[in-house]
Amino acid sequence: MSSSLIEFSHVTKAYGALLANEDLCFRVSKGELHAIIGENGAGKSTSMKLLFGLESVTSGEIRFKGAPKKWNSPRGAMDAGLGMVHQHFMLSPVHTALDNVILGREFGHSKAKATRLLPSLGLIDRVTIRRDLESLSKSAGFNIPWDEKVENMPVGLQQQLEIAKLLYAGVDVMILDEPTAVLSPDETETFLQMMKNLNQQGRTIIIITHKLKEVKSIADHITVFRRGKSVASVPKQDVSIQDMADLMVGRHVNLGEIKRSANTPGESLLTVESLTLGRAGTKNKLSDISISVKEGQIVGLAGVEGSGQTDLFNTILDPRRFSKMTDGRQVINILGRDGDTLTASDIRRLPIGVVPADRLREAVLPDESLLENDLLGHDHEFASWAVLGGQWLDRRSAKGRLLNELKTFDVRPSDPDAKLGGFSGGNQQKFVMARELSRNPKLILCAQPTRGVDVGSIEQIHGELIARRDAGAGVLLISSQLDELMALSDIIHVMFEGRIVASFKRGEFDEGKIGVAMGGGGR
Amino acid sequence: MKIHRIWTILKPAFFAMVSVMLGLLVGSLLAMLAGEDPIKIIQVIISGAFGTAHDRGMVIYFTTILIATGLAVAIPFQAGVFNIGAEGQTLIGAMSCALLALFLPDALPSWLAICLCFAAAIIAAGVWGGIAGGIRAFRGGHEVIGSIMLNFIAAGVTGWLVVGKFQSSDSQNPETAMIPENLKLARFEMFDGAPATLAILASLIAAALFWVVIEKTRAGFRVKVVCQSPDAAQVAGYSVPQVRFWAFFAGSAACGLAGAAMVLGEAGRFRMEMSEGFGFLGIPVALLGRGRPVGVVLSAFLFAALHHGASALDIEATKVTRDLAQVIEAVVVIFVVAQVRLSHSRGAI
Repeated sequence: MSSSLIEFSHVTKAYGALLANEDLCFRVSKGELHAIIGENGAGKSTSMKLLFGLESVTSGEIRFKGAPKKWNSPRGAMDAGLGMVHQHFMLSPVHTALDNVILGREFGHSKAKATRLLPSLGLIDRVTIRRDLESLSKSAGFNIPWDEKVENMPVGLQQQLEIAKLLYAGVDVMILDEPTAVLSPDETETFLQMMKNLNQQGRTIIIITHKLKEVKSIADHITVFRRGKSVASVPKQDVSIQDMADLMVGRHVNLGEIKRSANTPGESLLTVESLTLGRAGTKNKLSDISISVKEGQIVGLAGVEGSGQTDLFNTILDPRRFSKMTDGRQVINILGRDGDTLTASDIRRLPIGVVPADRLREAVLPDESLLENDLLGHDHEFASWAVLGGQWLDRRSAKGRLLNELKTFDVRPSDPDAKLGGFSGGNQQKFVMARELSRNPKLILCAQPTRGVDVGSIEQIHGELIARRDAGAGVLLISSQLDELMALSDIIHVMFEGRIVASFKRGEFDEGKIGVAMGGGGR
Repeated sequence: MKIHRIWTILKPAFFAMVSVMLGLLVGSLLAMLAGEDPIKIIQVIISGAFGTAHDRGMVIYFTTILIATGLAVAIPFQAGVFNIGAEGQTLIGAMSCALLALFLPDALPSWLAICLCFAAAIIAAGVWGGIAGGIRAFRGGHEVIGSIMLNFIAAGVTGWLVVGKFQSSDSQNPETAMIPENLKLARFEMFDGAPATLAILASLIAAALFWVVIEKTRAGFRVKVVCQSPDAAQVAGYSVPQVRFWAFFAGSAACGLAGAAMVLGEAGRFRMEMSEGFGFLGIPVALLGRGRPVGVVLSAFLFAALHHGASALDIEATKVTRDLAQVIEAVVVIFVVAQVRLSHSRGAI
């Protein structure tokens, strides 16, 4: 029986009336690779913030090495040997990798300060720190370029740097929050291997994630969160991926493939030919992109984040503005109209549904009611009083329409006056899908449709997209989830550094090959 | 639920009242430190503002102006841009109004001429502010810098015009000649000669129009979206620069009402620096009114009463002067601003 290093005992965390964590009970043993899984908003990150001293426990107790934990701040947690890598990296982009490690511990370990000359004079001893880091790199398997600025480093290396910071600080319990969310499949592979190594060297590792396959491949022990509670805490071999999904959601989830009709693609709805986007003197954001979306077709765009998918998406949304940044060779045709003449406002008057990637920033106004949010991008549909140039906004008819929409798409609560920010991620996204799809668009531009959405809603959103495709709509789908793209798309184009580097038809999808292309290989 | 909704409506008004009370409290404490009786100070301010019919008329006149300059700040604020150029916009509006009044043919009916003078003031003020708004919206230059610099330029240009070319021949002062008698707005008789005129109606209509546009029209909806999330506005197909520009233009145009009220309602001519800081006072008016139409009207009235009431301190009090009003105004604004911070940080949790 291994001794438990960290123990959550009936831990509850309340924010006012909201319970972010309720009666959490689980143990992490020393030297264990422990995965915490659960849907968005299940309280995973909150529980780790409690452990790390970023938030304080409302009731219950967290024990560390058998005694109640003593620290109430991250600084205290770090002194006790805990370290955390947050979902959003805490790096200074304009400094080098080396300086980012030094930041906050300019004089090395506290013992070094007394014994070494430069630190005792209050000077930074870069040479010694660098030597320490290089030997650390060797044992952990990092390949960090220490003199490169962070902003020039790929995300995978930035993450290694975050981990290096922890190791340099002498951490032996590492907490990682959604570490693979931003990584390409290749980088993920490297990362998982590194975690195994560090684990074998004796470090205790806690990973928060919702990627079940990764959990299955590396974790020793799995704790499942649902609605703030820990519903299971079991050794890996006791659960299957299907079990984990069901435990997370609380009912049986269909992980299998969604049925689609075997239609043949019809007329072209969107064509982009030879699109190059960039400013003189800088690297092109897009190079020579050609794609087309036909009726009854879902076209997926795969790629690591920042490979140009967003630029392509934005260009299609506001083609006339972006045409000033092209080389002029491009031909864009959107629903039979010449793209170079269309403004953002023209686009939104065509039968096009738009689901942007960053929901809270681009798709909705979190502080406003559902009704106001339903008008966003669609206010022209409720224009009345032609004498005033149709400037009057007819909210009454908008409300009637919205009520139907909410019912059809099962958005809960279906109250037009409720503030959108109070809805769960899943219901927010269902609302956005409802707003865009209830207008029966011919073309759907859809980015990250299930980001931050619970497993149950993912099922529904995927089903809806397939249904639209079967009914003859065309969909351009951007996603960082390869599983999602492979489940939905008829064609997948892989983007890397602003180019389309590979294309696959349905039936030829191969996770390995797509993954290699996403990393820039196989060209 | 219902109580909650009523509270969300009343909350800003409640906090504004608290700010005003705290402002008065700090003001009277300061007066006490200076050796005055704080109760007496408050009494002097109140009777100074409302004691006589003439006082009440003056308060109405100042309210007229402060609604306009308050709107000049509040309207652009709805689109997330900050206009602190009301001072200059008021001067340009007043100057244009006076010059047109001087050069319009006598044959025109008075009502038409007055309307034209108002229109000239509104358009000129709007265009002047539109320069700063345009620089912000289309070029990204900061509107605070732009609008404050335009204040200096407006003061300089209008001053130069009335010292030289358009200076009245029978005046030693830097001011234009008097405008024709039939263009002056009639003063309400009940206020004992104070410059309370129908211009107050123009200001109230402007505030009402502001409410209708923001709450009921598509343009107002777009303004709201641009303020809350330019990114969402972009995806929704709204032009962020255009919305910002026109909000800035509309706000600046409101200053034309202040300028016209000064020229047609009070002075009967343009005088150098006749805006007298009322443009700047529009900023606290808008802040205390939370940028909302009703709030702006109420806080304009309050600041007008404070402004006029405090002038009685010069005579009635020995140890403090009307400058105490500025201290009170500043304290009120500081409390308002502090609450904004507070509610934001609460919302973030």
